Amino acid sequence: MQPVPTTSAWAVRLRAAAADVRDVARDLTRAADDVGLRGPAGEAMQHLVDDVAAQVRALAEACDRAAEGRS
Amino acid sequence: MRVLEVDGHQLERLASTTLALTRRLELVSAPVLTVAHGAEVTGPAAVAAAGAAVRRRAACLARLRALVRALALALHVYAGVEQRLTAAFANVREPVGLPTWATATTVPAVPEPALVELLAGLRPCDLDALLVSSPALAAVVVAADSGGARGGAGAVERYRSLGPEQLLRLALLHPVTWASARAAPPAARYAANRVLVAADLDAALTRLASAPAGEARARLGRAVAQRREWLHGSVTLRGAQGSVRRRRHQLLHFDPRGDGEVVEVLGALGRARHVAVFVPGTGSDLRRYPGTLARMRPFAAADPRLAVVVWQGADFPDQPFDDGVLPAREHVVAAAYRDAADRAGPALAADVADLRRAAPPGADVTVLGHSYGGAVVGSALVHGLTADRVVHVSSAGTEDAPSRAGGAQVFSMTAPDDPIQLAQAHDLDDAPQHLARISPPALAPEAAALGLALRALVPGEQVGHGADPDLVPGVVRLDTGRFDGTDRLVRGHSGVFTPGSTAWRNLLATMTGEPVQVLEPERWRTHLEPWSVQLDDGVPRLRPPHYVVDRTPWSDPRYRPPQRPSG
Repeated sequence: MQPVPTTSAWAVRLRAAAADVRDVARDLTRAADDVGLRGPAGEAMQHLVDDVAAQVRALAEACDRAAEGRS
Repeated sequence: MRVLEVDGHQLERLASTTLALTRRLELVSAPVLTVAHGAEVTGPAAVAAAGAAVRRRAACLARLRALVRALALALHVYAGVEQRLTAAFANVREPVGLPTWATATTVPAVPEPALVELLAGLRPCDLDALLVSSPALAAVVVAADSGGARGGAGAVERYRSLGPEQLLRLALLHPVTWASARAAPPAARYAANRVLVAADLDAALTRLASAPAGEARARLGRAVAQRREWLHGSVTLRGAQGSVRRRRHQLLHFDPRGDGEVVEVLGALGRARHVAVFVPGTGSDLRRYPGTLARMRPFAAADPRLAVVVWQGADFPDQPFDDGVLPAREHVVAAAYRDAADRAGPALAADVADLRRAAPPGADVTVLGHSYGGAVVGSALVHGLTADRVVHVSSAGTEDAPSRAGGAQVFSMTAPDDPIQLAQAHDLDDAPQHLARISPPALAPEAAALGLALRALVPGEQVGHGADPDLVPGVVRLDTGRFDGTDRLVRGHSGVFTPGSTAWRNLLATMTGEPVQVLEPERWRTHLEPWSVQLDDGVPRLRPPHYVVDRTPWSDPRYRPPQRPSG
């Protein structure tokens, strides 16, 4: 395996992207918190938001892994 | 309005924010694409990692778009909000991949796999709550299932290996398949039919939004209210001892097409010792369904061991002006034909077989048919209905089913002045004599001639409902009696359903296998008054033929009809 230049320009761009993506996940969670989804249907909607936020965080981790060259 | 227990404007804000975040995510994660497609990344591990990030990004964006869509569809219950969203986001540019709601004034119910996949991640109870509260979301799920999605029919056949949670999830995500799946447990069918009702509510709301003022709009409004009741209302059963049982509506079948079909269970079918299936008569449709439900609720409330099934699982003959017109085969004319009963009978027989399987072993089944429903029950017997007891209530006829068909004990109940007697056992063969009998004596020859003409002109094989169930050997006739604490006889075509009478208790007794009070016909006498003209405040009015009670044993306050076991 070749050593990955973690300070290379593309790795830096990916790490920055990961940070921005995490911000999106945080803002999505915050938006749902601000609304305060209540009741059975509201809770279901909250679960959907949580599920998608988890997917967004997983994208951030994938960006970090790509920046480090590990799958 | 707080349908989702969330203020509509707040939900609108969440939808707006989520759409904006989708756009933002697409932009900030764009380096993933440029890096993966560039030449800078080398080495198999790094290339694989970049590829994985690209795939993750695509999945993530799809989920976000599906969430935006779900929020937008949930917002459909808030009138007008969607139009504001449309205006706000119609100018958002690609490549966000605008959800279709942003450019449409109504949501097309088309299969949307990404959205259904997003919903599939929910716990079944959450999914149930969301679909019931968000009709437009339910419409998307129904459209996806109608398109032949996975997890449908095959899963129904394998349902015995599934746990309750898995069953509920499959039923909610594949409502078209599961709502009518005979092999499916009732709880799964109840859930699937809730989604169908919610989807139909979405369609009704869409039509209502553009309906002009008038009767059509009012009718749509009633349809919306009825579906909301099925989704959010409950059935309360108050027992005589003050017990209260409350359950959400349990629809085993729902089809809004035409006059509409519905089958609803009152009580706990899974714990029932007695199951009673009630088939109503002419004019039964979704609009009149609440009245039928109200008639059956006191029976279900009377005994916690009893589950009552209101069966409108077929198209019944219409009443006059149901569709604003009086076509040739309406009301008494349409009800005289047996074709609707012939079509409904096999469906009823099959549904009763399903109910027997769904009820605990040993539970007994009583099938009751009122008026035209009696003919439906007769047809079902001909088509293999098996029941412990069959009850003809003011029945149009037996459709010539044998009196012990399916091993059932058959009962019959007709109030002494019930006008159904004018139809029982009559068809075109005796039309001349029958018309002469109900006509004023002076017009009897003309009436007989009319009967002859009808017999010659009308195709007769589909007219009439066979034998009068009151007179078939082996059938036990039940006394309709009088109302408790009064000397008032139970009368007419539907008086038997008013609680607090001999007739009502007899009906309940047939449902629960208790002893019944039987009719002593020799102690009664009635006669038929033909068509006549009577003066009403000096104004001549036509009085239709009717029965008059000349003698009743109930005129003796000490009278008690003989009893016999019903089971």
